[in-house]
Amino acid sequence: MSTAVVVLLAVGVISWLFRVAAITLLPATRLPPVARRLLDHAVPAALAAMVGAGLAGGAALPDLASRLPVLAGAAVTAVLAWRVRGIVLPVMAGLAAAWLLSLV
Amino acid sequence: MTRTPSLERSVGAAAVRDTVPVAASIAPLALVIGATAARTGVPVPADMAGAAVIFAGAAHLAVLTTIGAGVLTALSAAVLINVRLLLYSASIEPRFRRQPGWFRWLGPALLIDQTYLMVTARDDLAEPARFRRYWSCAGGLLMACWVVTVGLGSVLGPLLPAGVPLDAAAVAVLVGMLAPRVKAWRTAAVAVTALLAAAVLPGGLGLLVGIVAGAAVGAALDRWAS
Repeated sequence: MSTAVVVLLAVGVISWLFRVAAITLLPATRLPPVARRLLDHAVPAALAAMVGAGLAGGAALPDLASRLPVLAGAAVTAVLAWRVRGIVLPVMAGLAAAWLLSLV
Repeated sequence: MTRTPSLERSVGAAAVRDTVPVAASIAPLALVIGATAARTGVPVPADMAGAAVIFAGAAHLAVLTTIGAGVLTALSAAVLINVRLLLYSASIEPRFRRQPGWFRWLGPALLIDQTYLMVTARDDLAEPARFRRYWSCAGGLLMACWVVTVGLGSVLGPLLPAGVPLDAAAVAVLVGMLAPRVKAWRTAAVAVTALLAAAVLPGGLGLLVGIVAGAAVGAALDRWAS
C-alpha cells in the first residue's frame, strides 16, 4: 500500500473523529476561547496556504513566467468566484484561461 | 409526530431534490481529485475508498498535492482543513441529541459543508426520525455521487493529454472555494498572510507556516477588535 493511500485513510479516520467528537464525545463549545478563535480561521488559512503552495509549484522562489498559466487561472477563478454563486463556472473559466496560456 | 410511509417518502424525495444540484456543483472538484490521484499513482479503488472515508474535497486534494513534501506535511494540511468539521459537529449536535446511539456514531460520517448547509437551511427537520431520514438520504446520495465521480476522474485522468495543466485545475478549485469566504478584511488578512508565507517558503514548511501564521493573524485581529 502506497504512502499516499495510508495518509488518505488516516485523514479519513481523523476526519470521522472530528465529525463525531462534538456529538458523542466532547462538545466543541467547551474549548478555550483562544482555541476556538484559531479554529475559526483555520479553514481560510489552510485553503490560502494551499493556493500559495500551488502557485509556487513547489519552488521556494517561483519562476513567475513559468507559472503564468496557473497564476492567470487562479486570478480568473478568484474574480468570478466573488461575483457568481457556485464553483463550477469560476473553475471552468480559470482552467480555460490556464489552458489557453499554456498553449502560448 | 406519527411516522407514515407517505411522510417518509416525502422527506426522502425532498432530500433527493435538494441533493441533485449540490452533487452537480461538487462534481468538478471530484473529477480534478480523481485525475490528480491518477497522476500521483494512487490506484482507482484506493482513491475511491479515500473519497468515501475522507468525504471532504479540499482535504483529499491536500493529501494528493502535498504528499511529495512529506507525510507530516500532507497529514497536517488535510487535518487542519478538516478541523472545521469539529465546529459543524458542535453546531449540529442538537439535531443528533435525541437520535439512537448507532446514528450518533455513524450519521456524522456524512457531515460535510454541503450537508451541514442543507439541514441548517431547513426548518422542518425537528422531529428526530424525519431528520434521520433526510440526513441519511441526502448524505448517502451525495457520498455515492462523490465517490463515483472521483472514480470517474481517476479513470479519465490518464487519458488527458500531457499538456493539460492539472496543477492549475487544483489551484483553481482551491481559489474557487477560498474566494467566497473572503468577504471581510480580517479574512482577507488571514488569506494573504497564509498565501504569501506558503508561496515564499519552501515546500512543506511553507504550507505549515502559512496555515499557522494565517490562523494566528486572524486570532490576533479578533482579539484586537474585541
